[in-house]
Amino acid sequence: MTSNRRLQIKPTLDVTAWKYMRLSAILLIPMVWFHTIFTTLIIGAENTNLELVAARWATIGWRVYDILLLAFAFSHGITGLRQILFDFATSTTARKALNILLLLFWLALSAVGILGIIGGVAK
Amino acid sequence: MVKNIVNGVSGLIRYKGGIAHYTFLMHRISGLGVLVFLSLHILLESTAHYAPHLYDILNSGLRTPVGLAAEIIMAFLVIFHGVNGFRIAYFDLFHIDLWTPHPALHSVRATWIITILLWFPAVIIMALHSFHII
Repeated sequence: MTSNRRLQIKPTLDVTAWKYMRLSAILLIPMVWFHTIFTTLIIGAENTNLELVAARWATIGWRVYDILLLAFAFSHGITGLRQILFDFATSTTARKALNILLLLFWLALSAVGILGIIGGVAK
Repeated sequence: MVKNIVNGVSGLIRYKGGIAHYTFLMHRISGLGVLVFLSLHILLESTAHYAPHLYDILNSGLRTPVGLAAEIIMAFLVIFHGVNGFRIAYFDLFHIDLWTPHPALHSVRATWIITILLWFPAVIIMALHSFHII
């Protein structure tokens, strides 16, 4: 039998990333599945158009939901990509460069998406 | 760096870890696939704000046989990543004792079965939408 021992782990960036992956996963599973079931199974790609996006974003709740989904899903994806790349890039220099590149990519695409949702469908 | 990549990728292929090993690889492949899709998805949906006249034109690309095939593959990747990700997060956060060979192997098999059971109805519904039956 195993016994439980509590260890104090220094919260480095990698420890925080490890925890963030698990916690965001628990949150993302219901959020992504609701989003995809609604958009691809209930509405369907065939029926998706600009009018429908405008109708959805007329409700503030949908916009908040889409922003949260984008923020959690994309940060989860970037952290996961970082984890995979770090398995191959082991030098400090390479990891520093990857951290900067990933941060820039994450900020740029998040900004494009979130500002787009806040701006809403342009008339 | 290049040596690391060659060693790493050949190791990933040569390692004979059976179904658990393929599940680990598939988690990474599906994760990368979903991230590529998500990046394009953010850009496409953003056109609703930045270039609304392009939205319906770009979206009509999904209403093709290639679009349907891509949708079906994406559904598999998302469902697999979600089911397997739940297994990993649940074990790591709440049931670290299940990371022993037997329960872990059972859970790996269950992951594939649940993924396929969830994927089939999704494929059928997407095909019905695509052929305007529903």
